[in-house]
Amino acid sequence: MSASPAGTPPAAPIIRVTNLSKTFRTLKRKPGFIGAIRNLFSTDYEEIKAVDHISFEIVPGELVGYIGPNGAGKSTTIKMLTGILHPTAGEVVVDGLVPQKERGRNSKKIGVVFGQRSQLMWDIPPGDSFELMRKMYAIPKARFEANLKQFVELLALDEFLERPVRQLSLGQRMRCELVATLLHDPKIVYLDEPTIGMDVVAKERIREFILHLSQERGTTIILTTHDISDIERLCQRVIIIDKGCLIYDGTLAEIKRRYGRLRRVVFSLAEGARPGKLEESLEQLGSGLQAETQEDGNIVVSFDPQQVAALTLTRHIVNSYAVSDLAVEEADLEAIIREIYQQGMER
Amino acid sequence: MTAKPMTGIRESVDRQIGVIAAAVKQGLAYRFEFFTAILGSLLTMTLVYFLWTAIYNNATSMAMSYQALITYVCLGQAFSFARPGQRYIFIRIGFGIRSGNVLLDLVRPMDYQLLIYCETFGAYLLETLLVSLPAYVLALFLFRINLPPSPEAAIGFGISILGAFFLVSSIDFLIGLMAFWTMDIWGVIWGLGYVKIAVLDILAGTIIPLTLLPDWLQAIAAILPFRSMAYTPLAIYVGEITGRAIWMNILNQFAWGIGLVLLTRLIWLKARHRIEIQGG
Repeated sequence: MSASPAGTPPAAPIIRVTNLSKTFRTLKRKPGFIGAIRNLFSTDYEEIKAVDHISFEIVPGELVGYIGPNGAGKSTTIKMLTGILHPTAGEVVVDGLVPQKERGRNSKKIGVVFGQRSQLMWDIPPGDSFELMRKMYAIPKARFEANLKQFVELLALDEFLERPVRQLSLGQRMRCELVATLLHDPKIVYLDEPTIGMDVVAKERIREFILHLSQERGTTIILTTHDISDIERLCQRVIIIDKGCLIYDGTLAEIKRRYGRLRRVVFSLAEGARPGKLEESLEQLGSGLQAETQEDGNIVVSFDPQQVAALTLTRHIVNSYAVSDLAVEEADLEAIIREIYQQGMER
Repeated sequence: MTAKPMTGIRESVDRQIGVIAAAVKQGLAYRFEFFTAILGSLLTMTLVYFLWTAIYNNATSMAMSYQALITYVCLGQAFSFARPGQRYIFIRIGFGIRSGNVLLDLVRPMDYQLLIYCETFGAYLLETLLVSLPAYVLALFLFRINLPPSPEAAIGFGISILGAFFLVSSIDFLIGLMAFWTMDIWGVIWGLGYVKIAVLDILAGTIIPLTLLPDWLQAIAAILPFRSMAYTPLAIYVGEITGRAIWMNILNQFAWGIGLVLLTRLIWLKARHRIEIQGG
């Protein structure tokens, strides 16, 4: 990773998560009117394993994508890392501290952005919230001003710094959220869906800033997102969890190499031509080929480049059919991740 | 060696001032609200003024003079802790829990309870300056209420209204904490919130001076902390409580204040434990 270039020994981890588990006990709620009345007196509890024996280590300066489908346990993990939640079992150590035991000291080292929530005071300009953060984190005045100046420049905040937060667009507000989170120079930053609901331009601006934070400031960042292009643009390493369990921890390139069987050939036939027995003829080439006709008439063949060379496949298609257009598409990370979410990962 | 504990204390005080200042700035964004609050205050003052004038005209004997009584009830409205529309602590806590924004408060390097008290104190300062004092000055002219009879009464009123603020804040914080268990924030805000307002109006003596209540109710009010939230400052102002009794009452108020803060502290630690175990 950026903090430990090839040749140097890997740095000691700044975040160490060991066998982390969290079980919630919730009341079973029955539906319906009778059920609602029963619920008033029910003592029928249900145990939900939100996080189940997760372990990983993160070295200083890493930018790690922490992803998984809805309800996978991402937020619960973040809450335990920040010290808000107590683990049911296992341990978290962040920069030498157990966050649950040393809340105060831990909170000064970390910054958290929850994309769906706002820490800015709603009816007054963001500058007032920044000023509050200066006092809250006892940031030396010179440091505060230098940071603010740089962030305002990088994120182009000056055009709306005087406006009350409620009048800001989502993208503008999120830029201010980031500033409020980073003014005290946190060593570790947790970004929980920082690009949610934003248009492409706003997203790109946020991503560029996150990259800057990682590369120029060496901040350790854990990024949670549902937008796979965030991950593709920013992270070298991804941790995927599902149903509370860790199912992948490694580089993006490795995911593509190992699970990128979804390389595709997309082609359309000349007018009047019939695909004929496509499936059968493909089977001759090798295993793992799947063909599917899309609504617009295009035919998509997914294949594993390690089983069948792209050249062999395209040559076969062109020779067998009257093809009017043809393209070979790279493994699409989003599709890979979608498949991983849907099927779980066979390791 | 640096003086580490001193730095820690200075940072902590700075933090509290920062939160109070932020609450004041935030409060100033709602300028219109202050005019409506003054208007509301004057309207309820008018109501209690005519009510008590009518009662007084038909009463055979009263424990308080007419002028003291009118001063008491009008002042009670100007400095009321039972005013609807105040930014009550339990609304702040309730909505924080409902929306999950309480998470943002919990990652700060400041104790949640202290944070909430400071925020409320900022809002309270502003409200005192922009609502209570103007309403009070208007009442001096409109209802011809008394000025404090002595400097001692004025100072005693000032200290004791501040003491009342801390008592009310602790009660509000306790009510707010209920939301951590029930998750039924509407029940907490509208149910318990209105119970609190009613209790303040009756047992604290906001609308009826406690000395005019039946003996048995007075006896109950005397052993509860609520009397310190309105009756004590108001009775000091009008001269019902004088001399040494002023300071005894203020002492009593502070004893209750410390007791309630300790109690809320205990319950808050339980509530926090609950979040840690159960989740947000």
